[in-house]
Amino acid sequence: MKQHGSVPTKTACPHCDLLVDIPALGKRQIAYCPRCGSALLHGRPWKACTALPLVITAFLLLGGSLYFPFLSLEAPGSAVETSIYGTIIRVSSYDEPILAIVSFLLVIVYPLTLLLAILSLLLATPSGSAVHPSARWMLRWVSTGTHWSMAEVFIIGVMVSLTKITSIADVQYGAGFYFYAGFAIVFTLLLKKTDFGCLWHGTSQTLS
Amino acid sequence: MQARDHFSTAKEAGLMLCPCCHSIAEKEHDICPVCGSNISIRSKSSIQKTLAWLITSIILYIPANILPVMTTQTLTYDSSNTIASGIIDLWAHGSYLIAAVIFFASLIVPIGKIVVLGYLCLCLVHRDSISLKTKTRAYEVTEALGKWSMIDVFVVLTLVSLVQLGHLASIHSNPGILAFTGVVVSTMMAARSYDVRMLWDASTETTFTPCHPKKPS
Repeated sequence: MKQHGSVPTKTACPHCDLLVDIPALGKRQIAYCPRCGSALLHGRPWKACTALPLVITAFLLLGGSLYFPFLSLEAPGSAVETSIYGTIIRVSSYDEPILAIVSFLLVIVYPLTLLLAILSLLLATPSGSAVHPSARWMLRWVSTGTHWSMAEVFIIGVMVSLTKITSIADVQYGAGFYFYAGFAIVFTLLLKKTDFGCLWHGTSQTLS
Repeated sequence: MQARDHFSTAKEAGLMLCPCCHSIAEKEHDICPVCGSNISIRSKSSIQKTLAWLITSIILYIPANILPVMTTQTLTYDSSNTIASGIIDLWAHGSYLIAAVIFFASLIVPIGKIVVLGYLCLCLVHRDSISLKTKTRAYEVTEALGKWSMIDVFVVLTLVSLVQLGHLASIHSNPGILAFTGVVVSTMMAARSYDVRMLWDASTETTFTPCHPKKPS
């Protein structure tokens, strides 16, 4: 148990409410509920304190994707080049401001704030300074709110849309696209593989 | 993993699972002592919330599929596509893989989610022979696939922003895509609101038969 201080020995299945004792898990082991069979706990290979390099990588990739041109389109007589926020501003000015706002929130604002929250938690918690209520609020959000981040869905959507217009015009991926694709991969890995649960023990110790 | 001899649930033991940090708290608490989330034995008014989101999504489902999602204008033609006709177009152009992905993400997943969640709500009232394990799996899949329906929304977003070549070619979005976004978001909310543990509460049957086959009585 010492290796995985974050693993609660006793828990209940979130799907069928069965009380179970989970032994210490190896890095790739998964604990399944004996009654309903859902995955209770993944032996997550990365600890929160080692996630800092990933978070910084994700920041740089996201920054790059916003700065560099995202997609470029060439047709006889004209050419268009857009960045990600250019994409969203264009949509809001052409016809659908609501669609643009929803996408902006899901694709940029939500992942970015999530990253900022993780970064500030990682910087604050090891030194024991996470007493501030906002740290607990952020960690609650990081633990439960990740399913609204749609970076990976967006990348697939962009790739699908390009196959749709190859007949009309010649479309090319810009550097921003590759930056964003990299960001989507790093960010998804970060959320899936990192055990942020252990940060609770940091926050609760400093509080009590 | 060690299970108890008989299956005791957290509810029976007077304990609650925190949905956020997965620690166990006594039922006297209403705030988790570890992470400070609001906790309760079962999600509060979960069926009402699920049904409310579900009805919203069913209402929005109709305009999402009838109204066009985008209009393509070029020199030679001018066409409005609904979700279904967009898929047929893709198939006709020979992009079979993409057509299959969109067909699955935009047509099968939303209607599948509505049907599964509706059925799971019905299961709380009416018993049937399908095992609770299967229902729990169905719920897990429903929850996990939810956000992938947004692919079509992002497709329209990208196309509208990119293809603005004046008279040569331009693509505009239509209200259908907004309704479709509403369907995706409300089905995601419905899935989040549903508390699967109520399914198991309702059953007194023991579905767990580890290695002993049932003895004929």
